[in-house]
Amino acid sequence: MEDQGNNKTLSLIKTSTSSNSGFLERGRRIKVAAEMGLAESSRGRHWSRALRDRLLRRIGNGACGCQKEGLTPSKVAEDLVGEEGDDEVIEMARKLRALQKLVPGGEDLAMDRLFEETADYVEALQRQVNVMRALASLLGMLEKEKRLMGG
Amino acid sequence: MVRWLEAPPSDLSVLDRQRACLNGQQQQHRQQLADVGHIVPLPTPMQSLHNTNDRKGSGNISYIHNQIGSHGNGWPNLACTKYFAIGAATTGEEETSIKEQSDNSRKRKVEKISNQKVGCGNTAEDGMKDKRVKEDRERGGAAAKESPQANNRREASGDASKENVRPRKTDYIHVRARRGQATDSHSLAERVRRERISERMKYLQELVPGCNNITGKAGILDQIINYVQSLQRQVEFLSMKLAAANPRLDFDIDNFFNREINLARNSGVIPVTDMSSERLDPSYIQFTCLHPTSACCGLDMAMGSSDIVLHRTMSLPASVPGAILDSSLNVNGSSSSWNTGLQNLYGVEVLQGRGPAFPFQSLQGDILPRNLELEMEM
Repeated sequence: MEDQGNNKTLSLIKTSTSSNSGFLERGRRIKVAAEMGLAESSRGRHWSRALRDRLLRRIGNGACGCQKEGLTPSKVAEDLVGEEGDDEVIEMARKLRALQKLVPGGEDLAMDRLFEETADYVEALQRQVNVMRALASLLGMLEKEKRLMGG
Repeated sequence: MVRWLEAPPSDLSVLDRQRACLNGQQQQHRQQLADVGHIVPLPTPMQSLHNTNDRKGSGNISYIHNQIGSHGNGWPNLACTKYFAIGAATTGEEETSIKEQSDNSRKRKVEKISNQKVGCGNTAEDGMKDKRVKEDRERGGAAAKESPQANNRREASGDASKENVRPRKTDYIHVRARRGQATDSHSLAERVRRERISERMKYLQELVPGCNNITGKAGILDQIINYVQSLQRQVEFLSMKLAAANPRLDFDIDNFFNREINLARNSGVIPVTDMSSERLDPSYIQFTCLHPTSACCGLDMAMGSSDIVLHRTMSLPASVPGAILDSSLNVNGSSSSWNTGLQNLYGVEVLQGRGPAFPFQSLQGDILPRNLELEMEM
């Protein structure tokens, strides 16, 4: 499965001579970097743009010390719901809402676009997870070797 | 992405006839349309490719003709030229005319969908009933208008469905009504929409593991939601793991945005720009593995996609005394247990001495022979 652009994973790495930054803080930063990489890997996509905007907004806010902006009110796509009985309709609507929240930028998407974006997002997530797993194993091996070599 | 490209068998004699009739009209039609600025002659050659004798002997080729205007990055992305390489039907004439259309300013998405009655398998070619509906969004479902082409085609095809050729619409779908179903444009549009949605759900079903045996939209949706959540949680978990495993590494996105903008303007491969690092001690990580196979024994990934370019950027905020991490990962997919899809991960970063300037390189390196190099030096 190929996307329009290249598949890229962005990692931002910087060493600090002192590993003073807390574990959690580092983890969070890694996560942000990973998500940025995820967004980069499918650049043209709606969800990719939304994810990028979200991350950059978060960075921007953090940098200047502002509070997080309130979530933009989500558009209720009226044609979200298909033709079913009432209870099912409600249930379906609830599930679609949940999916909308999961997929970045999904709030203002109708059902068909939502599924499109979900499919692409899932693929990109899979790739991202693979790359991160690879990174983790390789770096883990590095540590092990370093220890073995008595470093 | 999945593509629905149907190539129904064609009846050459019918096509010849149609083509002869249509060519003349096509010219004049295109003339008219050219004034409006939208050339929508696409239906005409499509009509000419219709097959009146499918295996079941009932339907015609159905297709859904969409313009990209309604969708951003269309899914699926289909070049219209692809759809006209249909069996023996495509002649040079048609191809040129088709190519002209594809050169039009307006991009088109063309899907061919053969519809079938419920319960039949999904044959790649003709369905039992084909569907063609003209959905005219701007006019809101006005009555069908016949154009000369449509008339011609109907004579040739003998179907009792309505056809519309609306030159000036930005957005229209050709769908034929099924036998015994309502033919007003609203319900047809509804049906088109529903089918589109179910296509996409099917695609998602294939993508998400473990929902093949589940029927019903709600169950599938549940699985999808669970899967997306689990993937997101995995990303989070892996990032924590990366943080834990490498106390010397830190991820920093200060000033990432500036870099991002510059990066966005670059194409995939950026050569190494600057190796100068007077004030800084280069500390770099290179993976060295003496035994390629054993090195990868811990990896159980499936990286099905092709090249993955690892971009690394290094930033040196003024507050941090000067250590740089220069990391390069070279992975050869063929020599390891990695999937063949993964060819190369390679990233090199170099840090400049100056503060706010953050050089950025992304390299898509060559496939090194059987080497996973790992070295760490501080």
